[in-house]
Amino acid sequence: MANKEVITILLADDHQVVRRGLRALLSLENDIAVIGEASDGAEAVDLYKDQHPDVVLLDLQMKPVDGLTALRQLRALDPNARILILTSFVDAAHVTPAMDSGATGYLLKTAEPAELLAAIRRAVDGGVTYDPDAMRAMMDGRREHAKMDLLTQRELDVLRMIAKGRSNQEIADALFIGQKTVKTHVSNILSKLQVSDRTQAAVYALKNGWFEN
Amino acid sequence: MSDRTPSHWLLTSHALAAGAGVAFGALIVGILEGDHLAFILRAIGWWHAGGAVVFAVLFVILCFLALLVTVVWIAFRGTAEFRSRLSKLADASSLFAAGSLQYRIEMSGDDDLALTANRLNAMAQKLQEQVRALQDAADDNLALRQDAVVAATIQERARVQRELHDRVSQDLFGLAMLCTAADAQRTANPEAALSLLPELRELASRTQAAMRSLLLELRPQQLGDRDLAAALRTLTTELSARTGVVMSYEFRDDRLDAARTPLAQSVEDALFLIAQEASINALKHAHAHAIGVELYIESHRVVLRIYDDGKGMSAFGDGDAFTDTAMTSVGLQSMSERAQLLGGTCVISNRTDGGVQVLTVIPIVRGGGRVYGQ
Ligand SMILES: Nc1ncnc2c1ncn2[C@@H]1O[C@H](COP(=O)(O)OP(=O)(O)O)[C@@H](O)[C@H]1O
Ligand SMILES: [Mg+2]
Repeated sequence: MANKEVITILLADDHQVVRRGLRALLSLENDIAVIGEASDGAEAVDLYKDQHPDVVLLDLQMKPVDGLTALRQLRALDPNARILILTSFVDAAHVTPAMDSGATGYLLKTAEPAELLAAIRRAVDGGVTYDPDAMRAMMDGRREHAKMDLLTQRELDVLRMIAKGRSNQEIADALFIGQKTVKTHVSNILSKLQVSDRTQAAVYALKNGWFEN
Repeated sequence: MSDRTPSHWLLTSHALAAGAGVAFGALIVGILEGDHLAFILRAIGWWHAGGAVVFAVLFVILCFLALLVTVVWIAFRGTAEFRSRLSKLADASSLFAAGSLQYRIEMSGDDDLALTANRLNAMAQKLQEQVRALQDAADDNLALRQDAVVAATIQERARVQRELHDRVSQDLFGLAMLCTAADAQRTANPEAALSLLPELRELASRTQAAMRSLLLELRPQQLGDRDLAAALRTLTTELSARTGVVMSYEFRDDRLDAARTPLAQSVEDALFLIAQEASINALKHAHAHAIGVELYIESHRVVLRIYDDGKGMSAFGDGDAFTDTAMTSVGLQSMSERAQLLGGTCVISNRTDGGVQVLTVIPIVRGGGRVYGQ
């Protein structure tokens, strides 16, 4: 029955249910075998060194070591590693660094089983699979991020506090500047971001994941 | 207290001694002989014949005893008074600490204690003014804060979205994969397909539970136009209905009818949000059977208490309060910040008989905008 070699898979996801579902699904395919399961990034890297799977299915949000860190370590370890990100995040803050770190594919946990299987087989053949929504988020993020460079460090500090819902007085107190200065910063921020009020500025920054960390 | 000089004392005691000595002699002789005229003369004779010495010794002993009693009495009275004055100060500082900033110590005198009392009173006065200023500022900020509220809502929404991703969508993804696997085996291997069913059911109910907990986090409750007492009643009723956990609510206004001015808007807002956070925490984390919410309005402070009979917070021992600095998580921190912004305190502690208590005290320094119904 085996017309090709069996594709070996390493599953890395902190959700046991997800691993369970993936294993059940993949076990039905004759040309695919799950050879290891990891529940965080460090475990994934260790298992990879041991077993050299053909493809890694890698979740992004894991503890203590996350998927992005694992992705970079695996890349450094084996430049030819085929690593498919499988996550539920579609925002620029998650997509962009994963793409920049050389993921072979970016799949969402809303994907149909057939798409998932196709992506695995394509990866073995040297192809890539990027979810279109994730791609769009990344491009949008790039565009919006350029605006971040327009702001000075001080303006970013002020914007960060606006996003936290602080009043001008609170911002002035926290940054040891006068309320007038804060107001100047705020109006500069508004014109640079091309928004009409502070709420919109806060929404803008939060939506684009500027202050995620 | 005593301001007599020693010389004054000596003179008085000398005169007293002579008089008392003669009278003493007269008494003894009179009793012995019954002749009144002779008795006075003899008494004087007795005095001269050495009775004076006997008397002097007796008198010195007597004086000494009297002095002793006096000293002990004065000393006792002194410490008792000192103690009671000191405890006035101690009582006052606990009252201040508990938020009763309107209290004033009454203490007469011009010693250090009285001075301290005056200083404490002045401090309380100052604190009261500061609290008033704080609460005024908080009210003024309320308008400005509309923006902030919007931003906070967006952030909150982003957080719930993250959690939806993290918990519910993961489970649903796993569920979908399992279903696909079961479905694919339906004809080829029905046994295997059927064996997945219990797992699927278990998974579905877990996802449902996660979803419910997340719904708790979406906070549709707002103080809005209701007064705090009514809003808290609705909050407890709704949370209880949504979760099936028993929630009791008690409201009491201890003020005189005439003094029942409405609370400041900023105080009501803060207390509502604290009650909400603490209740949801109890529902989410405590595994409690019953949760209580109490709101007491006293003449000069509002006390809000939320308590549960759950598992308590493991990081701290029984009865230990979570100090402000020990709080690292957002929910706990926000409660104490809200109280502090209004010059009050919010203390979270494990109750000695199990469960957690969140006790908030905010000084009332003036009225606000609403009239209280019962
Ligand atoms: N009533 C309670 N009973 C038991 N544990 C609690 C209670 N309230 C809070 N906690 C614990 O304190 C932690 C921090 O609470 P909080 O800051 O509100 O964060 P969150 O509710 O988002 O987890 C919770 O994760 C929980 O472990
Ligand atoms: Mg909480």
